[in-house]
Order: sequence, then C-alpha cells, then structure tokens
Amino acid sequence: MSGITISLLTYAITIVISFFVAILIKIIVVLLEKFSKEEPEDSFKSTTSNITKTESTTTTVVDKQDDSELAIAIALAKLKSNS
Amino acid sequence: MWENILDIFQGFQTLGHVFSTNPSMAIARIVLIFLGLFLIYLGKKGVLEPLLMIPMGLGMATVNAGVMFFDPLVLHGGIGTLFVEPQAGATTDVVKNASDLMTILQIDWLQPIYTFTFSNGLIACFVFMGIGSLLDVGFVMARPFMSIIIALFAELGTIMTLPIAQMFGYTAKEAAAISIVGGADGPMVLFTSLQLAPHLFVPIAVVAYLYLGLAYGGYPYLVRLLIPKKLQAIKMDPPKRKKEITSGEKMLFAVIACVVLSFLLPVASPLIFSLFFGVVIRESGIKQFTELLQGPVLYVSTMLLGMLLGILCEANTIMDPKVLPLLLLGILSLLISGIGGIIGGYFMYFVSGGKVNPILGIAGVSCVPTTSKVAQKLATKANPNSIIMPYALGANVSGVITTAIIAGVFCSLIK
Repeated sequence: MSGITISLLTYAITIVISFFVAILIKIIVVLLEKFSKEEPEDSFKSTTSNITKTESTTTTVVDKQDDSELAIAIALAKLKSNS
Repeated sequence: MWENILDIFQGFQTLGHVFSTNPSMAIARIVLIFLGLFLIYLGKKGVLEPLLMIPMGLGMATVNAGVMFFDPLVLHGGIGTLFVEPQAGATTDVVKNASDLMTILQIDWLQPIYTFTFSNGLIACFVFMGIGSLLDVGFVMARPFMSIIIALFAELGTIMTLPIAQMFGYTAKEAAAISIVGGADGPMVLFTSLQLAPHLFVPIAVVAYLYLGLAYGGYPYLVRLLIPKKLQAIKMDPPKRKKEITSGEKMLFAVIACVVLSFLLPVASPLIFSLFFGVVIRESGIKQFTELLQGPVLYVSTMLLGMLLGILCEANTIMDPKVLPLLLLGILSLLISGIGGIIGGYFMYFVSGGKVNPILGIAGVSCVPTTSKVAQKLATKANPNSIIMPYALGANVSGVITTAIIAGVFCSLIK
C-alpha cells in the first residue's frame, strides 16, 4: 500500500473508533445521570465543592509545573463568575 | 612512558584518533557536548521542559566526553563508553548472543535499565501510568464530541507526515514510526518505533523528546500568528451539567474504555492499559497508590527517560545518515499537528456560533498537560476572565486517546 493510502485508511479508522468512544462516553453519562440519585438541594455547598474539586483538579495539573499565578487567576475568575 | 601517561586521558586520545580517521565524527562529538550544555541551560531557564532537558543535556554532554578505547563486543571500531550499548536491546540484529548480552549487562552501568525498561517499552508504560494518574477524564466526559473532534484535527501532523517521510526514502514502517511524532505523545512514540522500526528507535525517540520540549516555547507563536487577539479573548461559559461527574462514573468510563480499546487494538493494549490504569487508580481513591504513581513512578521514569535519551545521543548514533531527515520530519509533523489543532479550534468556533475559543485547538495536540497550559496562558493573556482550561484538558486527554488509536492502527495495518 502507498503512504497516502495508509494515511487515509488510518485516519478513517481513527475517526470511526474515536466517534465510537465519544458515543460510548455519552451513553455512559446519560445512563448514569438517569439511574443515579438526585443530589440534595444545597446550592451553596455544592457550588463551593464544585469550585474546590475543579480548582484542585485544575491546579494539580497546573501546579506540577510551578504555575501558581495561573492557579490564582483561575480561582479569582471562578469566584467572579459565581458571584 | 608518555604513551602510558596519555592513556589516562583517553577522552582526548579518542578525540584525536577519531579526528584523524573521521573528522566529521570528532566535530559531532564536540558539538553534542556543547549542545548538551545548552540544553541544560535552556531547561534551567524554563525555555524547554526542565524535567527532561536537564538530565538529557547532562547525559548528552557526558557520554560524548567520556569516550575511551573500549569495545568489548567489537561493534564500534575499538571505541566506546561505559554507559550503554544501544544495539543490545532495541534490535536483535547485532547482539544475538546471550553471553554477549550478559557481558555488556555487567559492564555498562546503564545497560540493565536500557535493556529491561527502555527498549521493551516498560518505561513508556510507567510514564503513561503516571500521566493517567494526573488526568481528570471528567473533562472529556463533559464534552466528548468537541474534545474528540479537536483531537482528530490535531492528528493531521501524523497523517500527513507519513507519505512525506516515504518520499524521503523511508519504508512504510519507518515512515509510520517517524510520523507518530506528530501525535506529540512521548511514550506512544517510544512504543510505536519499537514495534515498527526498532533500528530507528533511538534517533526517533531523541528527536521526538527534543521537539516536544520545544512545543511549550514554539506553539504560542503559532497561535499568535494564526488566531487574532479578538478571538483569543473569547470567554467560554463553564460546562453545564445537571450534576457533577463522580469518581465512580469516571472510573467506570476508564474501565470500559480500556477494555473496549484493547479489544479493538490489542497491539496498543500495553499503553492503553497503562494510561487507564493510572486513571482508575486516581478515581479509586486509593491514596497510597495514587501518590505512588503521581510521584515516584512518574518522576523516576521521567528522569531515567531523559537521562537515557541524552546518553543515547552519542555521536556514533546521531551521525547515521538516516537520522538527519528525521530532524526535519519531526518538526514538520509537530508543526502540522499544531496547525491542524488550530483548524479544529476554528471549526468548533464556527459550528458553535462563535462560543468556542479557537485557542482550544492547540490543546488537541496531546502533549499533556503542556498544550493545555499553553492554551490557558494565551487565553488569560488576551482576556484575564477567560477560563478555558477544563475544555483544553478535555481536548488534551482526547488527543492521548486518538494518538493511541492511530498507533494501534499503524502497528496492525503496516506489516
């Protein structure tokens, strides 16, 4: 097979498998949302824990490379968007 | 007597000897020593990734200085080092005899690490486990289609470089091993080159990691060139979900994705398993294992990887005529991947009616988390209120998945 044929075939297969994975993710998320219990109404707590969790996840990745200013900027922006 | 005294300084003697027989090799040794020192400087300054460049730079400088009249397996014309024999590992063409392998394992101090962890892909798998333990797949699960689409555009570098590499005279397997550099995924490059072109494994790995270190410095210029500041400043709303994705859900996704992808692409299953193993451990809540993977496993394997890559940059290996086109093809592959990613960002910008920041496209290049950081830094610079990191990480993680898929397809398709 020529290089162009291999490339195009590979890309086509990759697109198909990737979309299959994306559909799988969507199905998992939809099914889990449907069958899991509703969380209790406590918007302040859940918002705060969302900020903390997302922030800590984000800053785990960011802080690994010593970007504390970036983490502060993200935290400030999140507080602004939630206020 | 003078000869005996000069025998002490074999570094200089070998340089003189090589200069008289092959001047270009001698010049290459000196250049590589200074290049190694320069990489250390760039790593220390933060221009290139210090985690890799500092051990790599010192390894490169030292191995080219510490050459002596020593060649137990008679492979290099009587000259060698006490560090590592690259041909005793990646390929069995040269060192076929088990006793020769045992001899070199007992003499060269890094040989056991090279033969038993580097040339069989184990170190790549350890790095992937560490990366998996840092990944939050929730970002992919929040917007799977957008993340996957951006990642697919960012794979254009891999796809387009393969036929170009064949034009340079490489075989299909060699071209595929070279083009996977465009996936910007170090462990994947190691793994694929070992499977498809083990004789080119060392130069491909060196070129890939060198350029991946450059991506952090180079991609911002590409973004600034291709995306106007007005678009860079687009503020994206946080992902809307009825409820937060729990760790159990993320773990379930990781388990299913691992098994399904391994079913589809068994040849890439070691890396697929390693990545999702890290994710599963992270989401399982087993703190000791998570800390182990995120700390010692990731950092020891990264350090050894950088060190070995530098030590493999001996003049004998680098001066192979097949290596020089790699330098061009590697940068071309990463450049096209970056451009492809930005095209993906623009595609999502238009499809979403201007709501998606095109900078996200660069995060589709799966250098985790480097390209996500690049994307966020540029967005923050254009608009301090712009937070695109969650989306960028989604595209980043998807990039890892798509690169794994391409590597698996290459290894299965090209025989």
